[in-house]
Amino acid sequence: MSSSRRPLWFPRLTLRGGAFLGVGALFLVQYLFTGRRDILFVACLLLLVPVTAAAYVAIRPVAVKVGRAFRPAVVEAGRETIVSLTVRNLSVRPLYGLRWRDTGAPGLTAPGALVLPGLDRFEGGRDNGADAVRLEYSLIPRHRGIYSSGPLRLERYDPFGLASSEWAVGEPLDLVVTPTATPLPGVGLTGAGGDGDARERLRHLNHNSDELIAREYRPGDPLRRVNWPATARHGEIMVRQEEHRSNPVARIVLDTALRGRPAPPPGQGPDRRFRHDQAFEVAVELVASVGVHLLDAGFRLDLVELGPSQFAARTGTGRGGLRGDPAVDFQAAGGMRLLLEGLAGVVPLEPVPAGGAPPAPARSGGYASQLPLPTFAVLVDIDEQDAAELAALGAAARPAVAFILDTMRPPAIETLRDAGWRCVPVRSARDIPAVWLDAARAQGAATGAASFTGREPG
Amino acid sequence: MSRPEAATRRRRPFRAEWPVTGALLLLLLVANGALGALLQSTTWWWLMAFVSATVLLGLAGLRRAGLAESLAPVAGFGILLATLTLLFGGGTGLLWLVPSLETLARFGRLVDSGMESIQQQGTPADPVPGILLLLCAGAGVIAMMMHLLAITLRVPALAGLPALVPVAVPGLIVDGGADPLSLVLTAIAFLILLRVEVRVRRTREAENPPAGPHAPRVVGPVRRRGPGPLWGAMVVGSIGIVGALLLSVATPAVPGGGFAGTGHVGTLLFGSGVTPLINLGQDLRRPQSSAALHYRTSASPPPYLKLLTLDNFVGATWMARVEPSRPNENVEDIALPQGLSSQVATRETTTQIVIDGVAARWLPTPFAPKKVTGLVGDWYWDRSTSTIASANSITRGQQYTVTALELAPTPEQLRAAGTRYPVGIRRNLDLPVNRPAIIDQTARDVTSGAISPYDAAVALQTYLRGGEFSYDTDAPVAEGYDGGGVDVVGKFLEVKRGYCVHFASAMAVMARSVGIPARIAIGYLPGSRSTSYIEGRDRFNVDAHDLHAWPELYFGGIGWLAFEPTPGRGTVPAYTRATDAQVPLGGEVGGLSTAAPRNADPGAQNPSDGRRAATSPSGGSDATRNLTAGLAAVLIVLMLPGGARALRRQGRRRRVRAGPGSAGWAWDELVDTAVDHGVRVRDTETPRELVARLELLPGLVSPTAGDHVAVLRRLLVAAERQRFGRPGAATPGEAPAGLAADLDQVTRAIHAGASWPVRIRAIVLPASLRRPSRVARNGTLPADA
Repeated sequence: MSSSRRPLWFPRLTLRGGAFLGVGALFLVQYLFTGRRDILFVACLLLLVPVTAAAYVAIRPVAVKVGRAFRPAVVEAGRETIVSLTVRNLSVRPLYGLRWRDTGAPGLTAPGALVLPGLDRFEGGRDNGADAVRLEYSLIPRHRGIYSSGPLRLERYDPFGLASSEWAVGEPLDLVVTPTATPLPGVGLTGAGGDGDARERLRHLNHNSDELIAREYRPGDPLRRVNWPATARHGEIMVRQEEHRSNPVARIVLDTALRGRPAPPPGQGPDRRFRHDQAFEVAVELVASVGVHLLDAGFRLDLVELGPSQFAARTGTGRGGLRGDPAVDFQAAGGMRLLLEGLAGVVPLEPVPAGGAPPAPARSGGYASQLPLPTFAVLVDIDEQDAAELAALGAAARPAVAFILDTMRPPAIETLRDAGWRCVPVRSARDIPAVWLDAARAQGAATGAASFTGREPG
Repeated sequence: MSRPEAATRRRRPFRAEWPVTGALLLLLLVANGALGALLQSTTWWWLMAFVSATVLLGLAGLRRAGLAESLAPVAGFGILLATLTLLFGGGTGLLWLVPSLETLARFGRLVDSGMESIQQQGTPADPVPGILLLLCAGAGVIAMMMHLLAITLRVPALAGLPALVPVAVPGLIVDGGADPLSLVLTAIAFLILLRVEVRVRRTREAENPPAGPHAPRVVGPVRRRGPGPLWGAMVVGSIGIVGALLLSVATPAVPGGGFAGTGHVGTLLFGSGVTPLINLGQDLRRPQSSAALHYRTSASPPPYLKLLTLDNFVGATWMARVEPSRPNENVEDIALPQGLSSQVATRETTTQIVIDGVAARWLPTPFAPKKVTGLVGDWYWDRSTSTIASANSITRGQQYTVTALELAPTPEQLRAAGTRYPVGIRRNLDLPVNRPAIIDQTARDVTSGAISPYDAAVALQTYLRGGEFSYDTDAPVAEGYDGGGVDVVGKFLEVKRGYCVHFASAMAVMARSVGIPARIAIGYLPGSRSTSYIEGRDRFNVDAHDLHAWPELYFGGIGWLAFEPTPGRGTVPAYTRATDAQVPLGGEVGGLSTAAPRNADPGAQNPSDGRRAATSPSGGSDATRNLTAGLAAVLIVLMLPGGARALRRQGRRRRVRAGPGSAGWAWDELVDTAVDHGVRVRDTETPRELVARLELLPGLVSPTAGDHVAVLRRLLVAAERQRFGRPGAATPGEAPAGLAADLDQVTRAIHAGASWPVRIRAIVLPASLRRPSRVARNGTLPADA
């Protein structure tokens, strides 16, 4: 978090310093022709001063401590965060003639070189004396991801503005940029298409308990919660206990493996990769939007990754969500942030050339044994095996909505559709609200159908 | 100079530049002090200080009051004129300030007298009003230039150049130039100026942080008003100054161009002076021969007038030996010349000389001077060279009487002269090691029959005056052998054509090679007898075309004797005549007709020939000057394309900042930068296609600093908006300043990413100059905009 560094590069002369050397050389040539001592003095002065200045800026170390913080610490893509830097002089001599410039990973535009006020000698105490300065600038990252911000670069100039050298101080700090969660229309899974009772049905479907259990009155309970029948039964004032109901659960499947993607052949690889990367970004944004929407609506969320888990890497077996890795679940309040932070760092896994380990048998039994969950699969490009496993999972899903990005190949889509998945095509991030309405309508229809036909066969 | 207009044109009020102005003033005052080496008293300094201060402070005040920058030179000139009118107008100006016609006429007279007195006075000069006016006007002009450079154009480092003028002038006039103290003080003042400017600029930048919602902020600490990094400034500055002082003192003198030779050229004060051998031709080159001096003499024949002696080889060339001046050697009582014994017959002659046009530090005197009276200034004699020189006076206008000894040794005495020379004389036997073999060969051949040094010397003189050699003024120029060095002598002995410098040098070199101490004397031929006849003596007029060079040879017991090897010029000394002539001293009166010496000289007969001849000895310095000028010309030519490109870039950046149409200008500059760095840009390409290619450039791909690609795309979007958007629609969100910063970042990145040959080519020979400028392109493609 601190300390002096060697210069990044040899000291550089400024334009003025270079002009000094040039004019000095001209005077030196003139001296060779005229042999005049005063001209030699001027030449020597013009040549020596920039060299001395360069040595000065290169030799004197910059001993500073740099603290770095972001406000807010986690930022949504396209929103503003403020980078706050505290620079404190640790040297016993005052620090002058510096310019600062923050650096960062590509994608973080840092401001150009600005004047750093002179700092007093180190005084001790807290970071608010005359030996410290706080620098702030705002940053608007365009894309989700985890960016490294820093180190701070200090450019030291000599007192005459002839030379400068650059020093990198402080450690970089990661900035988490979450994907944009588009607000989705409707409440929870309902709200579209006038299905006012869909939520109730869903609750029944999910075995939501809304029994009321009375307990004795404690000071502070509001009067309106007094359960009069129970009071009559027990002979003392009883109140309705907090409605204890388990959250409804929804499941989101995110295709992080992109196994359908062919290993890039040498030659025409980048274009396809680029399409997949774009599609994956849309997929992540879609997951963020749907996830936030569901969490807002009070659902508990199970996130299943098709590839090895990136959300809870340590608990997983590395095989993927459908093959044994536990789903990561998110609860309402803190879960939203965890979900978004997790999504910030999700990357499509590199395609592994086929062969080697035989695919583990799908362990969809765990899911099948449960009651059907509303399941949203966001699929970029899956292979046949994934399609088959998803098809199996579709039985344990009510409704089963697959958001199909345009990189998906038709056979896999067919497989899913045959298994009862409702396939909604997604093209770009702008489509997300419309797609959601589409999906909600389908889900309304599906649940409606379920209510008419009773249990769907597994 | 309408004030409201100026007020509306500027964006924010001009800040007073008092600290920088103060530093400029300090620098100029200190630099002016360097002129103290040339001038007496200190009045001139106070006057110059007053003028400098008035101009600098007046300009700063006008700037504070809101005067447009473009008017500053006019205003500065006005202030200067008013100040000069006040000081030198003598009340002729209106209100003592506004110059009237009478004032201007007065100024003209003062300037004339000032120029004249500069030419006439030696150093230190008495600052007469004319000189004061010139000094003050110069100081004012320098002050204006410094203001222009440091404050208007914001390049204070260059403001040191005009301040160098008063520091450099003493070096042109006095040996050694300005004294080290004033050099050091000027250097300190210059560094103070730089320091002050850096500090002012930083303070201003800190006080005006970039505005805008996303601009970086600095929170605390309170900026202190201390002196800043005094320690660092003093360390860097003192190392620089002390180092420069030590280096400039410790560096050995440059051979050939150093103090020993042309350093003495600088002792002339703009006048038509006499300079050493190498520059003798420059004095002969004057279109019309000006009168140098006239004299009356009791000697007959009329004597050669010797100015100086070249007795020292520096490299391959003759140079005057530098002797420290000895103030206690009074010219009223000059010792006998070296080596003269009492057996040699001498005759005392008196010569009254009046100098007309010669401005030199050496006094023309007949050999060997015994006593000089009537001189103004401090003059010292040098026994070894028998010359008289001054450190602080020049010859112009002097009238003096020389009492000289004429030597009349007999051939017997000369033949008896030994070949053992004292140590001080033996150095006149030195010759450059790398001399053409023909010199020694010829000398041996010519002197093979000589039984004594004297016979050898006479043989050499006879050989050179013989029929084989011709006085030719064209040959040295045509054949390319100039000056008097040993190489030239070798060539001359082959070609056998040349003039006095070649003959004198050849004889001296050959004499040295056969073991006779020899040197070259430079001075005037006796000149032509005029018709006026006063006090029983003829008046002789000497003009610049009578300049001459001749060898002097040393004989033990007799001393230095002049010889005349140049055919057709001067007279052959009596002691070198045929040994049986027994001509009594002075018997050669008839040999010197009134105009004989000059008429016998074909070079002097025809002025144009003389001029052509004159160019030859000065060839050496001409060559260096030509070389310098050629180098400078090449440099300038090399810098032309880059300069034109830089001008164009500056203009576009200004337009980008000022708007409207910023994005278009920024785009043009970007495209041109790409072209400079070897990117092929097709006219049929859309900006987006071009950007797609630019993004692959190494400078933009490398993730070293910032996000160049994002910046590049911003520029692209701005350019597209301007080009394809509704005309006149304000482009939202793009501040011109931001655009300029973006442009700078991208162009720098492109430059940084290129390989060094590409970078050099982009600077020196920018390819974009071959592309038409935007105006031309738009003229042919109006639909483009």
